[in-house]
Amino acid sequence: MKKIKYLIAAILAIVLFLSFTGCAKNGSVVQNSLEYSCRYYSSLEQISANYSFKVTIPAAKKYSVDYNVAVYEDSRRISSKQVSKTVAPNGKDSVTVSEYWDIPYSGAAVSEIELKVVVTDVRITPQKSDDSYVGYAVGFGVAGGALLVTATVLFVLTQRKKRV
Amino acid sequence: MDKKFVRTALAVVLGIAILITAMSAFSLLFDAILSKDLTVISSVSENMEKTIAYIRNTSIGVVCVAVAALACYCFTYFSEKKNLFACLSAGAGLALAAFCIAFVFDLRAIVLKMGGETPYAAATAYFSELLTLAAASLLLCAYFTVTAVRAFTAKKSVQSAPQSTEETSNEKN
Repeated sequence: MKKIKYLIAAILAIVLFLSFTGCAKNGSVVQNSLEYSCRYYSSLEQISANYSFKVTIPAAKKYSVDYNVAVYEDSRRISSKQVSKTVAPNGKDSVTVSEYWDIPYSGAAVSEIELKVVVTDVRITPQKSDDSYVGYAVGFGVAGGALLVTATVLFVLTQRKKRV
Repeated sequence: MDKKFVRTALAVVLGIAILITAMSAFSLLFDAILSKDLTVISSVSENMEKTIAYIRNTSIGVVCVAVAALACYCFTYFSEKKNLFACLSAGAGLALAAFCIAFVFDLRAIVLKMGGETPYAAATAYFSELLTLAAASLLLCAYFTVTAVRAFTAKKSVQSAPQSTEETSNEKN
C-alpha cells in the first residue's frame, strides 16, 4: 500500500512540475530607451513620428507588447492611439519595438522642436500558443497515465500475492 | 532450423523493437519540447504554426502511451501472471501502433488541405518517426499476442490433464 502511495505521489509531482513549466513571466521595458524624432509637413498636413524603445523578454517565446502612444506639442496632445505588437527574442536579450506613425494634422503650424512622443502603459505578456490540438495531448496523456497506473497496480498486487 | 537459434534471433529482434520504441519516445518528447523554436527565431505562417501545434500536442500524447506500453512490456517480463500482462502489453502495443498510423494520415490530410511546401516538409519528418514507432509496436504486439495465446492454451491443457487421469483410474476400478 505504501509503495502505491509513493508511486501516486511521484506521478502527481511530475504532472505538477510539467504544468508549472508552462507559466512564463512578463517582460519589462528598458528604462530611458525611448528614442523618437518628429517631422511636420505643412504642405502634406501631416506630422510624422518615428519612435522606438527596447523591451526585455525573459523566455524564448513570442510576446505581445501593448502600449499607448501619444504625440504632444509641449503640453497639448495632438494624437494618441493604442498599439499592439508581437515580438520574439531572436536570440537577443532585448528587443526593439519601433513604429513610423503618420498623423494627419491640419491645425495651426507646430514647432518641430516642441513635438514629443510619449509611450505609456506598456504591457508585455507572453502570447498563448495555438490551442487547436491541445485535446490530443490531454486525451492521450490521460489514457497513457491511466494505463500506466493500472499496469503498475496490477503488477504490485500480483507481486504481493506471490510473496504471501 | 535449430530451435535455440530461432529463440535467440527472436529475442534479439524483440530487444531491438523495444529499444526502437524507447528511442522513438525519447525523440518525440524532444520534438514536443523544441518544436516551438521555429516560431521564436523567425516569423512563420499561420499554416506552419498549426502544423507545429499538431506535432507538439500529438507527440506528447504518443509519448504518454509509449511510456505506458514500455512499462507493460517490463511488467510482462518480471511478472508471474504472464497471460494477464501479455494481453495488456499486446493491447498497449496495438493501441500505440494504431494511434501513430492514425496521426500520420490525419496530419497528411491537414497539410494537404493547407497547401504549401514548408508545412508538408515538417510533417514528413514527423511521419518517419511515427511510422518507425508504429512498426516496432506492431512487432511487439504480435509477439505478446502469441505469448498470451500460448499461456492460455497451456493453462487449458494443464486443467484438462487431471480430468483424463481421473477417467483412467475410474475405468481401472
